Amino acid sequence: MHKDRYSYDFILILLAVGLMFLLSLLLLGSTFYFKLLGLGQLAPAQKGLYEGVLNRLAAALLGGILLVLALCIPRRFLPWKFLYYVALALGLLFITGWIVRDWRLALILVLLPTGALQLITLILLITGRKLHFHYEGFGKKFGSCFIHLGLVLLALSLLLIPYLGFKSALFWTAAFFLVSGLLCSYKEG
Amino acid sequence: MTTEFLALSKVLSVLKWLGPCWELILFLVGLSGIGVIFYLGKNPARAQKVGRLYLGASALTLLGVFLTLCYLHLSIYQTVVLKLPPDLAHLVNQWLLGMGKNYAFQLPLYHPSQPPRFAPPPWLGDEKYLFWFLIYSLLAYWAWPKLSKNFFRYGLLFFSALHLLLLSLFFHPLSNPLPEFLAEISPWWAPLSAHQRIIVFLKLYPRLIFYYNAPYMWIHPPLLLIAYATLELFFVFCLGMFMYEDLQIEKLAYFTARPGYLALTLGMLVGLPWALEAWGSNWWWDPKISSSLMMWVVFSTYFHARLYLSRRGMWRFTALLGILSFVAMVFTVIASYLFGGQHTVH
Repeated sequence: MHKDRYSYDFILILLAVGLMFLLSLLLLGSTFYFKLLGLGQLAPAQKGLYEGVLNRLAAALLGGILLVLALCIPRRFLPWKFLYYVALALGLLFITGWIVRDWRLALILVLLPTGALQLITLILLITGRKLHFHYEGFGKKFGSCFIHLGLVLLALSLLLIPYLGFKSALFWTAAFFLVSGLLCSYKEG
Repeated sequence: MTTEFLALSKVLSVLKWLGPCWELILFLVGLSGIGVIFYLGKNPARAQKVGRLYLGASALTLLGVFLTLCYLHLSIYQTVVLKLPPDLAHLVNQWLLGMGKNYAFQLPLYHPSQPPRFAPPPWLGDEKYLFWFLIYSLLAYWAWPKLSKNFFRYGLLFFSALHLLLLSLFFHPLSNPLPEFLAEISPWWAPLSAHQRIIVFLKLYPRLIFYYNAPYMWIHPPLLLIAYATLELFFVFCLGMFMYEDLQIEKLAYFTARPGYLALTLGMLVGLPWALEAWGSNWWWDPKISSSLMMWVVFSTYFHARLYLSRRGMWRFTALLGILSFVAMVFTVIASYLFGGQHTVH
C-alpha cells in the first residue's frame, strides 16, 4: 500500500514534469515562430490572431498542470478515492468555462478552487494535522504549500490584469508567497 | 554645464587608454586560464592550489574592471544633471502636468533645488556580461575547495577563461563604454536655444525616470545575472552527475541550483509588472520573455524530478533536466541578439 502510494505520487510528478516540458516546448516554438513570421512587422489584427492561438495552447497546458496539481494538493489530507472526483470536478469546470466563454474563464474557474485547496492544506499544516508529504521537515512542507499557493495566485493576478491592473496587491502577495516559500523550503537543506 | 561636460570628458578620455589596458590584461589572464587547464591535465596533483590561485586572479581582474566602471557611473551621476533655467523649469512643469492629465502615469515634476540626475546601474549594455562573469568568478572561487574531482575543476576553469576571453574580444565595456547612453545624452551638452533645450529635456527625462533610474533596473537585471552565473556552475555539476552517480556531486548541484532558482524567480517577478506596464499586451509572447519563461519552467522540472532521484533512471533524467536548464539559459541570452522583440540587442 505504502509503495503504491508513492508510485501514484511518482506518476503525478512525471505528469507534471511532462506537461511543464511541453509548455517549455511551446514557449520555445513561439520564439522561433515570432522570428519566422516577422511578428514585429505584422499588423495588429494578425498579431492578435497569433497571440490568441498561443494563448489557447498555453491555457490548455496550464489547465493540465492545474489538474495534476489538483490531484496533488488534496492528497495531502483527503482519502485517495476522493482525488479522482476532485480532478473530475475541476476538469468539468475547466471545460465548462472554456465552452461558456473562453480559456481565461476556464483557468480562473480552476484556479479558484485549487487556491482554496492549497490554503486548506496550509491551514491544516499550521494547525499541526498529520498530512501526507513525500518529504520530511516542517520548513519544506510549509515552503511547498507557500510556493504552490503563490503560483496559483500569480496565475490569477495575471489573468485578472484587466480588472486589477499591473501591480496589484494580489500580484505582490503571490510574489511574497513564492519567494518566502522558496526560502522556507531551502532552509532545511 | 560646460564644467560638468568637461569633467565627464576627462573621465572618458582616461578610459580611452585605461580600457584597452584592462582588455589586454583580461585577454592575457583568459589565455593563461587555458594554459592552466593544460598544465593541470599533466600535473593533476597541483590542481587544488594552482587552480584556486588562477580563479582568485581572474576574480580580482574582473573586480578591478568592475570598480573602474563603477567610477565611470559615479562620474555620470555627478555630472549628467538635467538642470534647467528657472523660466524653462516653469514651462516644463506645466507641460508635465498637462501630460499627466492625458496619460495613466504622471512624471514627477521638476524641482529646481533637486534637478534630475542620471544614475544608470553598472549593468547596462555589455556591462551586464562583466557583472555576470564577476559573480561567476566569485562563486567558482568559493566552490573550488569543495570539489573532489578534477573534472569539475577543469569545467570551472574553462568557463572562467572563456569569460575573460569573451570580455576582451567581443564585449568592450571599458574601451567603448555605454555607447547608447552617451549618444542619447550628447545633445544635452550642445549649445541649444530655450525651445530646443525643453525638447531635449522632455526626451531625456522620461528615459531617466522609466529606464536608467528606474528601481527595477537596479533589481531585475542583477538578479537574473546572478541566476545565470549560478546556472553555469550548476551545469558543470549536472554534467558530473550525468557521468558519476555520486551523492556529493548531487548535493553540490542542488546547493547551487537553489540560489540560482531563487534569484531567477525573484528577478522575473520584479521585471514582470514593469514589462507589462511599459509594453502592455505586446509583452505576451515576446521572444525574450518566452525564452526566459521556458528556462524557468525547465529549471522547475529539475526540482520536481529531483524528488525521486532514487528511482531507476531518475538520476540521469534529473541531471539531463539540469543540463537543459543551462542550455535554455544560453538560448535566452542568444535570443536577445537573434530574435526581434522588446528585449532586442541591436
